[in-house]
Amino acid sequence: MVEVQQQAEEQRPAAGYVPPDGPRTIEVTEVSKWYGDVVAVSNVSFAIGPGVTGLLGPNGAGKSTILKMLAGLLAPSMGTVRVLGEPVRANPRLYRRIGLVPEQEVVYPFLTGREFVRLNAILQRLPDPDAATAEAIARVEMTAAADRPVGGYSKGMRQRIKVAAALVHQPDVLILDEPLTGTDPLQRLQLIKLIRALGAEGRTVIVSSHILHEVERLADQILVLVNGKLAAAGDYRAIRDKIDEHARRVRVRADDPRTLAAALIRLPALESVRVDGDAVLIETGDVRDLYRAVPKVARELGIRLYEVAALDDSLASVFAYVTAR
Amino acid sequence: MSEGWAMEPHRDEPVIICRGLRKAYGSVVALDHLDLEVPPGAIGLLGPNGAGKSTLIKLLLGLIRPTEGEASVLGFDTARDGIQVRQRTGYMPESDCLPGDVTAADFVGHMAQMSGLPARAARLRAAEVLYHCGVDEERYRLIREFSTGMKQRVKLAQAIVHDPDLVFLDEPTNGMDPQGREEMLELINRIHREIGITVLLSSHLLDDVERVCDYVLLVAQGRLVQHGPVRELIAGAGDILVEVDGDAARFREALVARGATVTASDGMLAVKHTDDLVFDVIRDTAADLDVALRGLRIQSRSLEDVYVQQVLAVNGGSDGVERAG
Amino acid sequence: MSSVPGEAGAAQSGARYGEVFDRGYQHYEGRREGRAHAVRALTLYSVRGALGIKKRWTAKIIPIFIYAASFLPVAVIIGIRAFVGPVAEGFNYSSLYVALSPLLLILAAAAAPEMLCDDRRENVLPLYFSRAITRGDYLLAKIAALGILLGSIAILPPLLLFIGNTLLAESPLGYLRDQPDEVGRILATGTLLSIFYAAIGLVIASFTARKGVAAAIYIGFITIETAIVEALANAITASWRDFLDLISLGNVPDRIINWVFGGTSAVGAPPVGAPLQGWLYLFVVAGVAVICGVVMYQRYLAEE
Repeated sequence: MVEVQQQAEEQRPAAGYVPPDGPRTIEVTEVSKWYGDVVAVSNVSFAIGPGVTGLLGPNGAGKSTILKMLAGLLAPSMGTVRVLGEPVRANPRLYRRIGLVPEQEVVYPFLTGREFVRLNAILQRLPDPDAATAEAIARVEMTAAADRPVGGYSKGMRQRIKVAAALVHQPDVLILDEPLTGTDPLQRLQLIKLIRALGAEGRTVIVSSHILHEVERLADQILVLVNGKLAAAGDYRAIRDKIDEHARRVRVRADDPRTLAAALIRLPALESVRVDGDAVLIETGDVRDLYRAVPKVARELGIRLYEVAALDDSLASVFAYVTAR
Repeated sequence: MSEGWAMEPHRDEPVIICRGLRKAYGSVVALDHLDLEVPPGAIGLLGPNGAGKSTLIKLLLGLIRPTEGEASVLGFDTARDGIQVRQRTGYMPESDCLPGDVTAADFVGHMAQMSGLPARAARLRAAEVLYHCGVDEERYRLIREFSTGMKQRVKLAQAIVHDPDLVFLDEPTNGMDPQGREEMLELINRIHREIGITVLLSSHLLDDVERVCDYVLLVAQGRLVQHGPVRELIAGAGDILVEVDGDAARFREALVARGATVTASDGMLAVKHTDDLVFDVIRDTAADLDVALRGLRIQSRSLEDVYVQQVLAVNGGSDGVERAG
Repeated sequence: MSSVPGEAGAAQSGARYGEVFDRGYQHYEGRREGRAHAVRALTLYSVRGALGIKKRWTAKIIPIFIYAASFLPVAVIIGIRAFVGPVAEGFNYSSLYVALSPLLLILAAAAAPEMLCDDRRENVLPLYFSRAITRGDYLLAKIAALGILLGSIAILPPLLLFIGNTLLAESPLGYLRDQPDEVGRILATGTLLSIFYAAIGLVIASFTARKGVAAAIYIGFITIETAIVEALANAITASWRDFLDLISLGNVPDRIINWVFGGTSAVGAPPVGAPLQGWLYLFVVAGVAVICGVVMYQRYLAEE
C-alpha cells in the first residue's frame, strides 16, 4: 500500500514518498528552501501521481512554501521540483499545465465571475477564451451567478470561481491552498465533490488543509509536513498500521464497565484501562488480541457490549502522533 | 450610568429567549421570526454563511435593535438593557481584531477595565486568564508577534476576563492547525464544564460542535429550522454496525443462524436492532468463532447529516449547490 | 479563596501541615465599575498611546518634540526674566500662541489618527463595542483624550507664562488685580484652538484607517486649502471677498488669537482686504465642530 524508503536507524520512516505504481506527475527531490536563517523546507522528497493528495501540517510547517514551489512561483534553495517530467521553475510552457488556487482572496472584487475567469483565460493565451471560460464556469456550476461581481459572492462561491479560473486552461495539475477555509458545511461538501471529481478525471490534485476531517474525505493519499520535513506519507490507515509501537486506544461501552475493566486488565498487552461513565477506555499494544478477547471475557461475565470502537483510527491521531515531538 | 452590579447565574432558566425576532435591512430580511429558548451549557449555532448567525449574535449582544420581536439574554432585554447584557457576556469574534502594538497582558487588562474591573484587579485577572488560556510568558510580548493560535487564545482571554455568564465564540478554531484546534476545544470544554460559563459556539466545523456542544440551533435563511440536544439529533434508530477481522461472510452466516437479520455493505455488517438481545448474539457469535470484533456501534447520524438534510430542505430540496447564491 | 486550615491535620499532634491551593480558574467576585470607569480607562489608555508610552521609541518622538517646543521657550524666557530682568518684551501671549499654533497642528495631525485609525484598521471596534459601553462612550473617551492632549499644549504653556508673569511682577497681587482676565483669555483661546484642531483632525482620521495618510492629509489639506482661498481672495474684487478669510482654515487660529488678545500680532491681518470682526471666527470654530459632530455620528454611531 505505501512505499516509503526507510532509513535504518529511524523508527519513523524518513526520506521520500513514492506512489506504488503509475505515473509520477510531480517529483520533488531533496528540496530545501531557506530564507536567510529561516529554513522553511528541509530536504523533502516525494512523488505523486494522478488523484487527490492532501498536504497537511501545523502552521508554519512549510506547506505554502512547497505549494508555491510546485507552481513554479518559488525556486528551491536546493533540490529539484519536476512537474510532468520537467523542472517547473521559470518554465512558461509548464505553467500552462498547472492551475493554482491560492489562499488569498480574488484581487478585483468588482469584476464579474465571468470576467475574472476570462482574464485568466487570456493570460493563458487560450485560442478561444470565451468558450474555455464558459466551460470552466459550468464545471464548477457557477453559470447562473457568473455575471455578478465577485465582491458579492459568498465564500463558497468565491472559492468555486477561483477553481474555475484555475481550470480554464485544462491543467493536468491543480494546486489548492486551503480551499475549504471559511466555507459552511454545504459549500464544503460541494467543493469536496468537485475536487474529488477533478481527481477522478485523472488530474493530479494537491490540496493543503488544516481540517483533518475534510482531508480524510478528499484525499486518497496524504503528505504530512512538520517543521519543514516530511513526517509521514501515504494512506493514513496504512501509516497508522506502521506506527505499531504506539499503543492503540479502544473504547468499549458495556452495561457493567467496571467488572469488564477489572477482567480485561489481566490481558498481557494491555497498558492501561480507564472507566468513564458507561465506557471502558483501553490502551493496548496489541489491538487484535484485545478485539478477540473482549467478546469472550464479556460473555463469560455475562456483560452486554454496546459499542466497540478504535479511538484513534483517524487521521487526527496519525497526525497527532506524527507531529508530537 | 450604572455603577457596579452583582451577578447571579440562574442555573436552570434559559439563558437566551427570542420571541418573533425579526431583523430586516430594507428589503433584505436577515432574521425572520425567530423563536427560541436556549438552555445553559454549550450550545452550537449552525447554519450556512449568510443565514443570519452574525446578525443574531449582534442582536443578542444588544449592538443592533430588532425590527420586530424581542430577545432577552440572561434575563435582560437586549434592546432596552444592552449595557446589562454586555456586562455579563463576552464575545470572541471570528475576524482578526487584536491590535498589534500592544502586549497581550496590556490589552487584555485594558479590556478587563473596559468591562468594569478596577485597574489593579484588571491586571491580575488578565494575567490569570491568559495563563488559563495557555498564554504564559508570551503575554509580555507584542501581539504582532503571535501565531494564529496564540491570537485566538488572546481573543478568548479577552472574552472571559471579566468572568461573564455567557460567551459567544465565533469560529474559535479558525486558522488553527489540528493541535491548536484540539487544545482550543479542550479549553472550551473546560469553560463550560468546569468553570460554568455558558458557551454559544458558532462554527462551520460540525465536528467541533458535535464534540463540545450539548445543544444545537440550526439557522437557515433567517429562521430556526432545527434545534435540540445533540444526543437526540444524532441518535440512531438504525441498525447495529459490526466490523470483524477475517471472514465476514462466515460471521454473517453465523449471525443469521442465530436469528439475526443482517445486511452487508462496504465490509461492514448491518444487523437489525430488533431489541437489545441482539448485542448479546453478536458478542456470543464473535466469542464462539474466535473472531476479532473490531467495531460495534449503533448507526447514528452525524451532525453533518442533520445539517445537510435540514438546509437542503430549506433550500427547496435542490442538490444544495449554490447557483444563484 | 480556598485555603482552609486542615482541622484533621492539626488535631493530630506532631502531624505535618501541608496544603494545596486551588490553582484553577477563579470566578471574579470583586468590585465592578460602570460606564464612567470604562470611559475614564479608555481616555487614559488613548492618551498614553498617543504619547507613545509603552510603545516603541519612534512613537515618542513627536510628543516629546511638541512638548519640548511648547514649554521650553516659556520656561527659558521666564528664567531669563527672573535672573536678568525684563527681556523679550515682545514675547507675550499673542506671540506665544502664534508659535504654539503650528505645534498644535502637528500634534493634532499625529494624535487624532492615533485615536481613531488603528482601532479601525485592526478591526478592534467589535471588541470595544461588545463591552458594557455605548458607541457614544467610545467616541466620548477618544474625543476627551484628544482634548486633553491638545489642551495640555494650548493651555498649559500660556498658563506657565501667566504664573511666571505674576510671580515676576513688582507686586504679584497687584498684577493679578490689574489683569483679571488673562486666565480667562488663556482658557478661551486654548479651548477654541483645541476644538478647532481636534475637530478637523477627527473628521479626517475617521475616513481613513492609515495614520500616516491621515496626518499627511491633515497638514496637506490645511496648507492647500488656505493657499487656494487666499489665491481666490486675490483674484476676486467683489465686496464679499473679505469674508473668504473666514474659511481660510490655516489663518483662523491667528484671527482667534488676535480677537482674544487684541490685534498686536504681525500676522493678525488678512493678506487681502479688511480684517473682519473677531467674533465672526467663533462661528467658524462652531461650524467646524458641528461638521465634526455630524461626521462622527455618521461614521460611528449610525452603524446599524
